[in-house]
Amino acid sequence: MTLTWHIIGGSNKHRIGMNSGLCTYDDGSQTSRVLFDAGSLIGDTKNPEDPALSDSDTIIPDLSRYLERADDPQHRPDQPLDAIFITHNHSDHVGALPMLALMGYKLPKIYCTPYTAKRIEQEFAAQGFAPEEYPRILTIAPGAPVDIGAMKISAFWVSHSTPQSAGFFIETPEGNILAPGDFKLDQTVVWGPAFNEEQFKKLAGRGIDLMLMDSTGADRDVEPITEEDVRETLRDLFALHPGKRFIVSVMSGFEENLASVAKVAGEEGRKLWVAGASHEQALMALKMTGLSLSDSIGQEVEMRLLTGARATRELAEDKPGSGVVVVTGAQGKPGAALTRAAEGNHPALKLDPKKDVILFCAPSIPGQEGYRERLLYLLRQQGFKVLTRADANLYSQAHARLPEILRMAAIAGAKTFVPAHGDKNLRAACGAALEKQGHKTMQADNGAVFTVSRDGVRMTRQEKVPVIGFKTLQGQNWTDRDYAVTKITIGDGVAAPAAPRKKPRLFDAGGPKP
Amino acid sequence: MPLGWSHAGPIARALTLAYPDADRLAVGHDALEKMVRALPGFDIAPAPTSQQLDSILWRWAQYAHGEEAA
Repeated sequence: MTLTWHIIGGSNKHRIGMNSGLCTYDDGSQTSRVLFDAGSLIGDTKNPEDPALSDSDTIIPDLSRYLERADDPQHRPDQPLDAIFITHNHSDHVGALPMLALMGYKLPKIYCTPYTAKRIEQEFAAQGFAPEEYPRILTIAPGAPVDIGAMKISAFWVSHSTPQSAGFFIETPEGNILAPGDFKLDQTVVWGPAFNEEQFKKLAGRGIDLMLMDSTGADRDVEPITEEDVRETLRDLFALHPGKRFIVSVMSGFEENLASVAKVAGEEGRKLWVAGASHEQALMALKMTGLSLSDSIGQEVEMRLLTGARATRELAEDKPGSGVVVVTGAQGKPGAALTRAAEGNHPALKLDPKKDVILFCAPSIPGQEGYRERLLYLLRQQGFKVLTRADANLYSQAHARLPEILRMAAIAGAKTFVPAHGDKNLRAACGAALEKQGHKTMQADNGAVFTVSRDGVRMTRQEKVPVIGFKTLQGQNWTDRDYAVTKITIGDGVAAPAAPRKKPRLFDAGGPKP
Repeated sequence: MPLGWSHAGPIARALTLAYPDADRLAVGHDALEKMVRALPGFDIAPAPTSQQLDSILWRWAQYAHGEEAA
């Protein structure tokens, strides 16, 4: 019997992203393989993971040896996957799925929570797939384990910045592995469900031989800012500026933050305007999952989408101090609602430095700083009062800070911890802090393979890390993108010839535009 | 290629033009199907699946906010 955990991605040198781990269990007669997460990494020209990837804007792990091909039924992968389990919907955990499908790979069945399932479908739709081309997605929930061969996989809730985030506990006769995904312990998230210590203890009590640990916040030995802290800050600011309209930029995919803004807007009797497609799509996915905003925040809130002539007129006629506008554009990306409004190009949102206070409820994402600084400069130059997380508690970080990491480790009591998700420095900081508390840790980069048993964990080999880089060639029509594809093995530094690939969407590409 | 429910792009563009003030978060599947069938040239024969209707709503949001480029 052999149980292994292979770090496919996520334990990168410089950047956060491309999270993926492969669990393989061989009981002597049958081999079961399950992939946990399949994320993408945003390219970085200045500090790429490998020089050969400096021109790629999206990077994913090369999973070709695990996947069948949709266009070639005769193709047999070396190591076929039985299933993919997804912890949550952020692109650094799911972004590889549509890209692999675009390349012609057939995905096995995918297990995730209902909200994550809707968001994955959105990712496929955004890449131009018709619903009949979506992979098969099965929804899961804590308390209903899934058997994949001799593996028993149980989900548990973790708090995060997006709803229905889950971690997974993998039980086999040889040993148990716990992959919590991204987590924090915040009990004040709105959508949640929040991390449930009793639920987690029941699983941990069965014994954890290897636990991956989210190390992203390991360099911050501070008490975390909770969603309730953010709501308190918003209440204070609304009280301080009663006659002002608040423009609140929230990052796409940070629905907990959006819910906090909505909750305080409702409490204060302010109308909530939503500008930006990604926020609307998130609210749609929540509704399709049976989660209404008002029910979830426990507060009636008048919410309006900021599109169309009528909404534009109504917003312009709103009394001063009666509205809150949630916008996309927290990173200053071109085309996002706040960016267009700051440039005077948004059709519905006209900003006024005398009437508006602008809040950035988001961190600065590495690689995006230029866009964000440009937007901040543009707004401040026009005389706007702009507040960021440097000025007030406007952002509840998505990942556990060091005190929460140590608390999670104490609850879990795993025999061995392997820091994951963070860059090399964050993983080292996490490992050092855990060791100081008496925990056994092992450090590993992408490609490491651990053999796990009740007797302990051994790193048995270090494999090469093949990845695929995508360069968007044509992004004007979001239904019809072309990509140049670069396949490399990180560390080898040799790029295969770029081969343009296209998924034709002839009807969409040729149709009229509004 | 005949127009079908999976052609979310052209359907969403037409909805954006025909219903510029719609509250898409309040539009259920039944109402959406009726809205699409009411569009000139869009009376598509078979019944749509819920995934097809979801996809149309998401695309509609994209166009309505003027964010065609992802």
